[in-house]
Amino acid sequence: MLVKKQIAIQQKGYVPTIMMLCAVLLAVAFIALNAGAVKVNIWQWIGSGSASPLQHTILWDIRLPRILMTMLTGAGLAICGAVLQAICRNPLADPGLIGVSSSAALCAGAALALLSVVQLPPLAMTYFVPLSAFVGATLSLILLLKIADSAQGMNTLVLILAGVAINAGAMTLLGLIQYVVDDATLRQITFWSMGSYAGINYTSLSITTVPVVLGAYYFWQIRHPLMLMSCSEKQAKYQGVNTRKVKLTSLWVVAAIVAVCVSFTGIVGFVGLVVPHICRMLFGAHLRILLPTSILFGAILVALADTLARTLIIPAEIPIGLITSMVGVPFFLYLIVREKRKFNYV
Amino acid sequence: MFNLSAVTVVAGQKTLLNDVSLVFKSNSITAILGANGAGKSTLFKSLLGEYPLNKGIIKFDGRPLDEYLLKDLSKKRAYIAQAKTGFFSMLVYEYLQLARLQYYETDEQSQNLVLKFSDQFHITHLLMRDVTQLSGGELQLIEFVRAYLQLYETSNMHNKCLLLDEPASALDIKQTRLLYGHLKTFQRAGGCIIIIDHDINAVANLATNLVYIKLGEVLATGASSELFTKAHIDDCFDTSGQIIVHKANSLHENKMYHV
Repeated sequence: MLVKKQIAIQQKGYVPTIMMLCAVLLAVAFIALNAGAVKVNIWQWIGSGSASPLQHTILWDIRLPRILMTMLTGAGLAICGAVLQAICRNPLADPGLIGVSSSAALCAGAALALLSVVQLPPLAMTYFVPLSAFVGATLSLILLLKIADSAQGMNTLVLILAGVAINAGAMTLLGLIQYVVDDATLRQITFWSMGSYAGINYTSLSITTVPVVLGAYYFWQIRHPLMLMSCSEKQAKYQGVNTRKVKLTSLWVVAAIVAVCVSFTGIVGFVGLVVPHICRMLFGAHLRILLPTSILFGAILVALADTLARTLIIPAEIPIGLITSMVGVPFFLYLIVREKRKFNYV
Repeated sequence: MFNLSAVTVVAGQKTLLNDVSLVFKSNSITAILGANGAGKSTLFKSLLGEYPLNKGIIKFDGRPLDEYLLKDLSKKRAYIAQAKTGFFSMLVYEYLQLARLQYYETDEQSQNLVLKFSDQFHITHLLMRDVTQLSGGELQLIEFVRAYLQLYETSNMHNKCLLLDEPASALDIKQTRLLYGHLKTFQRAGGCIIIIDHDINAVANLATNLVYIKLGEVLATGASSELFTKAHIDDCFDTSGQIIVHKANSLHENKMYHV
């Protein structure tokens, strides 16, 4: 049967794509391990198996966790964007839109402001800002659901509007904090909200791994209900999907992922919005393909951006949020111009 | 299948449905006729469980509608909305395969069903197309196959119900004939079809039963051979027209209402 063959070919068609992206990801990891202020030649390392203790520390305790973290958060933010776009049936949806990131930024800002006047024990100092960011993300989600959720279901338009409002509110309050704090703290807040992967260790890496991996697994499991919901929420319901439950759980998972990603690294903007779009245009919109490609492409993009961030003007570091935008925006614009016709899903 | 007793729906100050009692049986096609604002859509939404009822009860296959799990209901009741695109892109066969979501079967089994019914309903040539690139007519035929796949357990469609809202609005004459032929097939397999359509002539010749609605109340209900009369239609739509009878052959005649 001719069609059956075509379907078989089409379904296998994405395997090479995934393999290719995996290969690119590995290559990026090698480049990232090699690059940096201190020269560590990883090839030589593999060849001779010897290195100075300093090189050892730099490679395994500084660069490796940092690179893994960039990949993990890139993947997490990208998958959240893909899922939110499906649930909201809105190509503009991303974790920033529902106000989670900015609320995290607000609480992190408040924490930094507090730290500038109050002394805490060193261990508490390390985790105070990430923890505050996490609390901020969670609070904003609770507020969002309080507004948008009702017994009849969750209105997607109300969800987005409430998200925009929370966003604006958080930004205003953050502006207020920035206005009253001293110059050094202002600088800290500004840097935090532009994102940085400096000082990532295995502890923060492990804490982030759990929600990202579990979340990605959950989204993969519900990819078919999500597909139905991205066509029409009502129709999905008539086809047996408990849309309210799927929406609610997905939002919690998104918030958990965004919260941990943002907490340790600040806001790495743009990834959640643009990576799913790039993947949709390059590889296809079915979530079977979009979810894995978004994960891989998000990881590649952020890892690459962070490598640039720490090597472009050695010894200083450029905030990664700026790099992701600088790399992503032109590429995105190029794709939009090239694939204008394909934008009929809007 | 559906059994409405004394259903009343009020929204704000307005009574949308007033004391409506209706029965929709298996092996029937019922057309709901009425002017705009008469309550057709409200009735439909009630059957879909979208409105909380102010009074009365809707039973589906013997049980109150609101006691069903969404999952169980989806295997017995399917809905086809007016044709509209606006999906994220995916291929037609992928879209059709999603209709089998609630069944425990392998990917290959569901794919084989998609292929089988695409062949039976003549849409195989569309399977590899992108859903966002289809015309309204093609989309509507695919929606029918989707609904069929959603309900299919065995070829017996007894106790399965299909709701269609203006299915022919985007179709040309040939596609309409095709779709109505499919609906007849579904009915003969034991299914219950409830349909809203503005083309009363087309739908009245398709339907086995008619329901006239006016101002939220049922004017008349019964077999379409008896109810498709000048008196009923004039009353329901506040018009004054005539019935033209066209004898296709000695067994079959088509009736047309003409203003």
